[in-house]
Amino acid sequence: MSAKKKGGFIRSLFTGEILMSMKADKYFVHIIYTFFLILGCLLLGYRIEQTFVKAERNKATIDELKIRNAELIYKVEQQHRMTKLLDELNKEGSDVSLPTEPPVILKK
Amino acid sequence: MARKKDTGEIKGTTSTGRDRIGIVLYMVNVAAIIISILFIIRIVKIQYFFHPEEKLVEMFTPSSAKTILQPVRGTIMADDGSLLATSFPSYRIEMDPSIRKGEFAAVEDESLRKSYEDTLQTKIGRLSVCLAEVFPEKDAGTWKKTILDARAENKGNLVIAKQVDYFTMKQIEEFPLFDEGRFKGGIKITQVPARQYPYGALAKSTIGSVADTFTTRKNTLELRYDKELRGENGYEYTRTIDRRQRIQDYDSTYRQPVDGYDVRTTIDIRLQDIADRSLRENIEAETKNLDYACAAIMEVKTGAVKAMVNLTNTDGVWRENYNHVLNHLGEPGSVFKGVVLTAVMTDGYVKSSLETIPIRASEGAAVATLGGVHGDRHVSEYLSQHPGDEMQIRFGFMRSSNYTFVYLLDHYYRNQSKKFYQHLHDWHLDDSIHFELSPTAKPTNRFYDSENPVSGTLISFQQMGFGYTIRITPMHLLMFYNAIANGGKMMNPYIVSSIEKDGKVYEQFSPRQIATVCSKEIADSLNVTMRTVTGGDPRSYRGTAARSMGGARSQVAGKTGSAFIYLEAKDVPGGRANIEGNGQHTLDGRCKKQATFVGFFPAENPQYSVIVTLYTRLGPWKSEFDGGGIPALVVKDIVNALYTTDGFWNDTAADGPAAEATTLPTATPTNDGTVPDLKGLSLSDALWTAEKSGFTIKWTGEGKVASQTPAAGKNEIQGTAIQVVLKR
Repeated sequence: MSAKKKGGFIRSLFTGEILMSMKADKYFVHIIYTFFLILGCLLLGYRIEQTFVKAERNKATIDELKIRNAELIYKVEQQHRMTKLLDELNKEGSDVSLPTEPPVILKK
Repeated sequence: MARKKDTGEIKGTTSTGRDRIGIVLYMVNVAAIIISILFIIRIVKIQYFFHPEEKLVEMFTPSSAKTILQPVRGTIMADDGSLLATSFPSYRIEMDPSIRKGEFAAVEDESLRKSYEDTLQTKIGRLSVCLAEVFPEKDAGTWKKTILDARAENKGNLVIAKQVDYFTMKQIEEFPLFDEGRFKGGIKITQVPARQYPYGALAKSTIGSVADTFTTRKNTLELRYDKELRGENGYEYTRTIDRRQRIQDYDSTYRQPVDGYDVRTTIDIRLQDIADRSLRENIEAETKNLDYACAAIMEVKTGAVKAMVNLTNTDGVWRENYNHVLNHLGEPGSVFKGVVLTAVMTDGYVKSSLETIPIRASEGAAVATLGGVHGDRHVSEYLSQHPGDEMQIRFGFMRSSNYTFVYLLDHYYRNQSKKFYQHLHDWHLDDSIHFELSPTAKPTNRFYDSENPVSGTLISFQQMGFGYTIRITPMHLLMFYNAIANGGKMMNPYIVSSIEKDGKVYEQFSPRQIATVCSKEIADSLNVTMRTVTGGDPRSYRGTAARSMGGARSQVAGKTGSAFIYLEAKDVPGGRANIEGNGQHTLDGRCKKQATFVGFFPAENPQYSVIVTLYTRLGPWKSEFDGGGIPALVVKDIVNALYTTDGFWNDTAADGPAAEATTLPTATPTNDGTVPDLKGLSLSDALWTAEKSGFTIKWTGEGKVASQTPAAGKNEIQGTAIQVVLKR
């Protein structure tokens, strides 16, 4: 760059004509395109982060459901014990007890 | 020149306006440039020359923290997939009692401040009522006082509950005040990893607990399979984004945790429950008399342990905290007679238990060990009905005659004891059993020296005939009797059937035969002999367990055994001076005993083998603490409960009333040389009937007797072999 051009560049910097001196008008479409590209990137980044937040929240919900499911199975298993059933029946005053004969299979 | 002029003209026409606007814009532009330069200088300075304090760096650097991801510990399952041990978290509930105290203090208006405080305390009152409903160990007033006292003392933390389940936690979250969240309501919920056991204490000494890793309890599934169950930790990096939310930092490395494998056991939870209940019901009232009790049930064909109950009397409460079945070495008593009988039959010294042995007053073995043949009351008992000088071996087994088995061991093995010890070795009765949880305790012999097998005193060798001097575990005995039930095939006991994950099997454990104890014919003959213990011949004497087994819904074959436990000085008040010379009784006649019933059922087609052993405290001798007492009663209860709930007996009721346990084979034995009718009988029943009639049997095929030669009703010389063909 010649000394004259350098001087013109600095002058345009101080006179606020820098963009014109760089012929930015010629690349206006590209500049706008780049602007929207960057804006899109920022927006996408933000959306991705929000999706991660949602994923983390869902992960926590799934974990909670797993715990809930495990606890329900656990409670069913607890009730499944024959001695416990007999005790409960006895406590309720029920006549129901263990069978006195083996089952007869009517149809195989 | 012209240009100069033009320029001068333009300047002339616009000079005033341009100067004003131009100067302003120029100044703005210059200011922006100066600020930009300052920014650039500042950036360069911060970037290259500024070294802030570490604390500041930590505060202002977006955090990306490493978080350890815990795997889910694998499940321990019963054979049908029922959960024996599983993992899900509990919740710790805490409260900040000083909540909003600072906020209220900042309010200048005193009446307003008091109003805020009153409102909060009203909420605390309502919260206390709800807490009292969930945690009734404190009433509402006490809860309120506890919280307000902590508030007055400016405590920042008050534990409401250390461990609650998910549903309780959700309920608590909705309580007044707590429903306002952590910062306004003061509730703090922390997840606590926890291991859960749906069946409580059932099989606890077998399942164990995660804490076993840090204790001395070694024979538990939790400990033995800890490596498989534990899984592998993972990790992730998380970073904070807006509003203090944390998300995974995908720019960093991530390792998924590997959940633990599931362990599927052979335990049948229904059988375990039945065995546990039967044992507890029978010993419930005996906490003053018993120290320990245990029971185990094994599947005959595979050796799979279906149930194992181990109860220890801990200050009057029966607890599952030590595995006696695998670890408790003791002199088994008369249950060892089954081993001696099997040995003499395997070696061909005795062909059938219907054979007799001589009763000689001068019999060396009896004199030395029993103080004479009549030292065994069963000898006189037999002679009273069968005068003469011979006694039937089967009678000796049925009534548990010590003389019979001292004679057999002494007569056949005195000069070749190594041969008998070789049997014990071949039948794995002199070594630990390989068992997944850990090898069983190793049997010991008070006098036997493995390097010099003939050492030991003669008396001690003879005493082995009725189960003294040798010390083995209940598992050894069960394994042996299971082999008899299984036609002579000894199966290695096992309790883990597979290692799985998400339903996919990674490692499968199969039944393993480790020895052949005897031929099927001998096993069937022993089976018939063992049935007499629970039944016997109603025309003469009944077996030692017949009374307890009365009313059993399925026939049981087995053996009872009771042995005195040698007293040690520390067991007896007054120490050694208070113990009789034989070491079995105190001077006032008290003793400690080990009582066992071991057998299998249904006798005609064995499905399960079972052992029940009790260990008494020092006290007076009582018949219910013999093998034919409580142990046999426990077995009967197990059999009866299984009879109506186990698929094996399905349709039994359709065939007619259940057979009485003491009923022996329906065919009538003859005693006049007439060949009995064996058609339709199972092999063991045919053996019993033929032997009872004085004949032996040779057989081919499987199933029930389809034909026989010679035919029923023919007269033959007793001792002749009846050829039978079995068909299914």
